[in-house]
Amino acid sequence: MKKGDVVLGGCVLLVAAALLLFPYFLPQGRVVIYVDGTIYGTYRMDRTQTLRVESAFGYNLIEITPEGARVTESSCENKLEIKEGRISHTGQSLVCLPNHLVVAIEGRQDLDGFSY
Amino acid sequence: MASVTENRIFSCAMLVAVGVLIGYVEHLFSFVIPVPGVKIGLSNLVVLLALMRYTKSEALLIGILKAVLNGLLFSGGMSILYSLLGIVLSVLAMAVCLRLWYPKVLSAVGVSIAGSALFQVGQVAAACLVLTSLAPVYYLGVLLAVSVFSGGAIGGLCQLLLRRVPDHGKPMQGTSGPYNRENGENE
Repeated sequence: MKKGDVVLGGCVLLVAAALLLFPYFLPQGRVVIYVDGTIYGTYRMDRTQTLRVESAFGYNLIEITPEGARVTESSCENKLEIKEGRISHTGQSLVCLPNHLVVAIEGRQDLDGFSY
Repeated sequence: MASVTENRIFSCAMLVAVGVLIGYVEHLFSFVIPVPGVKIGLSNLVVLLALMRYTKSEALLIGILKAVLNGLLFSGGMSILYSLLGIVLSVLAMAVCLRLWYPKVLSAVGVSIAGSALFQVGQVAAACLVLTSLAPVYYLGVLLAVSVFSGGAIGGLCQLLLRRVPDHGKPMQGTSGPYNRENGENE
């Protein structure tokens, strides 16, 4: 082990921490569901709803609550996005690669707040 | 009589085989890791070993063969794409580290951490391309954090191996081991 090893490892850990913590400093946004790269729908997080998203690649059941969004059912094999649990902050996302599905929480893009 | 080049081809093929085997064992024990989608990537040990002992192109070839075989045998077809981009970036990063900083600044541990981290970056980049979305970048945080420890462990193992495993890719002098066919003693 050399000093450089520790420095390098530390730097990578810092980048990792920055990527993980960044979403917690952003205001709560909206849930955006993408299928195969295009927007399937945008949903507010102030009421509870369950969505069934079906595409050529498979289907997913997505539950959106004020606490966040999670995938409850999937036709894919590994079900990684279900195990990932709930996401609640802007910048976080759930990805189901086999179904080409992304559930992301994105910041508000509208300018309503500024156009008094 | 086997020539030096033939010995080298045997060694590379053996490394690919060992890599696939390690990948299989890791696949069997993947339930041990609680975080979804995270693998230790222990089979990258053979790529690191090849990079240190042989050449960049041989290491890259071993990595690509291992990724394709592991992908076809154990995980789904699409995962080959992710690990291919990962392994290419990983070999490049490790080659650069070896050239510039090894062994003065970094030991095998540091080189391995760099390779591991870039493997994750490549994998996530491939996922971003497939989904045409930046969403997978969020996962990079977890993957990078794990890669520091898994990469470090692989680097440590590599150091042990370099010391203990004889190098069959080079002609051995003064010994008459089973692989030393240069003098024709064992033929």
